Amino acid sequence: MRKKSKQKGLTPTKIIVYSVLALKKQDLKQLEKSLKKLLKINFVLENRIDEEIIGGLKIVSGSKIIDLSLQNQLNKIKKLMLNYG
Amino acid sequence: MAKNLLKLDNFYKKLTALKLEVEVYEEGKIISLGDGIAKISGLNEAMYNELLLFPQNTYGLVFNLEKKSIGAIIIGNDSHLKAGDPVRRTSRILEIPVGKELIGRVINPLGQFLDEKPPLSLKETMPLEKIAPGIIERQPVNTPLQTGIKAIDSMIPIGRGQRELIIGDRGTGKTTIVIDTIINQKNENVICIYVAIGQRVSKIAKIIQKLKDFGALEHTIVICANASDSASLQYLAPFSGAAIGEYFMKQGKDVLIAYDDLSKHAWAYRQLSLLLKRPSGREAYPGDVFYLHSRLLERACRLNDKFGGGSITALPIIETQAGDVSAYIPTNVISITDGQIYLEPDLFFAGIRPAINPGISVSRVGGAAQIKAMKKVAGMLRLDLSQYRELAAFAQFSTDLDPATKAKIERGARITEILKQAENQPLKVEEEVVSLWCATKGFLDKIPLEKISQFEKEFLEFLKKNKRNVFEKIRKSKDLDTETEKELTKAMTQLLSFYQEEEKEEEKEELS
Repeated sequence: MRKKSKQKGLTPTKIIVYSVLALKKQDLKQLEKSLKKLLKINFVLENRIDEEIIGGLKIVSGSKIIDLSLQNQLNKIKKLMLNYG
Repeated sequence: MAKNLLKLDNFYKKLTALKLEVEVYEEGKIISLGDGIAKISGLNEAMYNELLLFPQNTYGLVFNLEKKSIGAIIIGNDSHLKAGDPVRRTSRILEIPVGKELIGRVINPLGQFLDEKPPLSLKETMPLEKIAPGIIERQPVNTPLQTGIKAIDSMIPIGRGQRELIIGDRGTGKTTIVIDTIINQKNENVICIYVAIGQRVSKIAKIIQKLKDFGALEHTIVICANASDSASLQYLAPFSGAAIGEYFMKQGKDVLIAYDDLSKHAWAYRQLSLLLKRPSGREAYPGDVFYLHSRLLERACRLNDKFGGGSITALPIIETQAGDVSAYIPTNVISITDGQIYLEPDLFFAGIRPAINPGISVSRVGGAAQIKAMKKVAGMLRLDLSQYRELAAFAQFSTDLDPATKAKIERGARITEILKQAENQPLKVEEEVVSLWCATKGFLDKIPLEKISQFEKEFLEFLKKNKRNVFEKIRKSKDLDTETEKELTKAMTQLLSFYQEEEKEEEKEELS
């Protein structure tokens, strides 16, 4: 039997924002606002530092990822170059 | 130099067209990996049979959806992957690129080219898994698919849109029947697809060379998942064949697909299922091995004219072990197909090649897939042969029998002799009709058994030289009318008199 607190909407899902440098409070708040508009679910935002993304942001919720990182863009270019030998 | 510049130019074009913006995807992680199977965590919204993207452009297929992980099969080589690698959902199902440029080429089940000609990029794709056409879209089978093999076209005729199983032990001539049929489709406007599943590469190379030598590769596509390919490629190969066949069928064309062979396909599926820890049943096959073959073979059908009138004829091959047709996979496929051609090693070694047993071979479409001329000639053939088989035991004492029985035995022996056919020598339907007409009308009764195949060759050559119009007439009218029969009888008596003169001379020589 599921505990009441584990039902959808009652416990907020955790969304992690990876950035290279710590985000300022206003930026985080603005991000929360736009994400609320986009996702329409109850969530809690956390900011973590990950230097591997080189630049930009990477927003992760479980398996779902919104990738705005520089690492991803460079990887795309790398794939294209490898295709052309 | 110019080629490199062109390449660079293409590259810059693609680079500027690349949209470096936000990317939304779902990513999971490989927990364990081995034997072509990966266990993945995360990806809780992945769907069954969905395509997954592994690092270095490797693809995988979702096979098992479990509580806390996903079991996926990796298509192709997995040696460059490791535990912890990221895996992405693609929200697509497996598709193969198709186009008429595929005809004459050799490809693998993913559409990658394996022959020496330059690779092509095709625009259209077809899904590998598709639901077979329903009842409304179909039409009964009534057009013959001429295999060029007398024994089949006369007694076990195959129609366009039928599924006919070729079943027998190893080395009994199953692949030969399929190759002869493909060679015979040369000017028949039928696109042939040969799917090699788990075969030795040397055998496939021989087959491709044979098709080239007989000019048959120009209307054939070869799909190759040989014995050294991963089990996942062997599992997908027949579905790729069916997908390409459906592409041409949609355009209203007739397609012939040969699956060589489905026994190895079932082995590959068993390997994948056991590695994914699916519960095993009889002979260690998974519980849905029937569904594996039924959904594949049901895609072979004849569409009605509203949907284009195209057809797919399927020739699946099953290899039995020690003639055991009551094993699991053979019985499964027998119940799915519209008939079987049994090949027996005893007949093969007795010199009857093709080693078809007409007594237990069946075609559930039958006469509806024969031209009128063939029906006239082959009508009594099966009966004559079955009577011959019953009396065959007495054939050893043929001097002690009454003339009627003796005549039956002689006739049966001659029919058996004329049904023998050399490898890779399919006959046109008009030649088959004439050949069988000689046997059933009794003209061969006067010729000694050892000389029958030679006589057949000479008679057909004789007609080609002097009475070409007979063949034309049969081909066009698809019938054998009394006039044509009269001309054939004339030609026959002419040639027979030659033969009897030769015999008399030989006798004279022997005596002297």
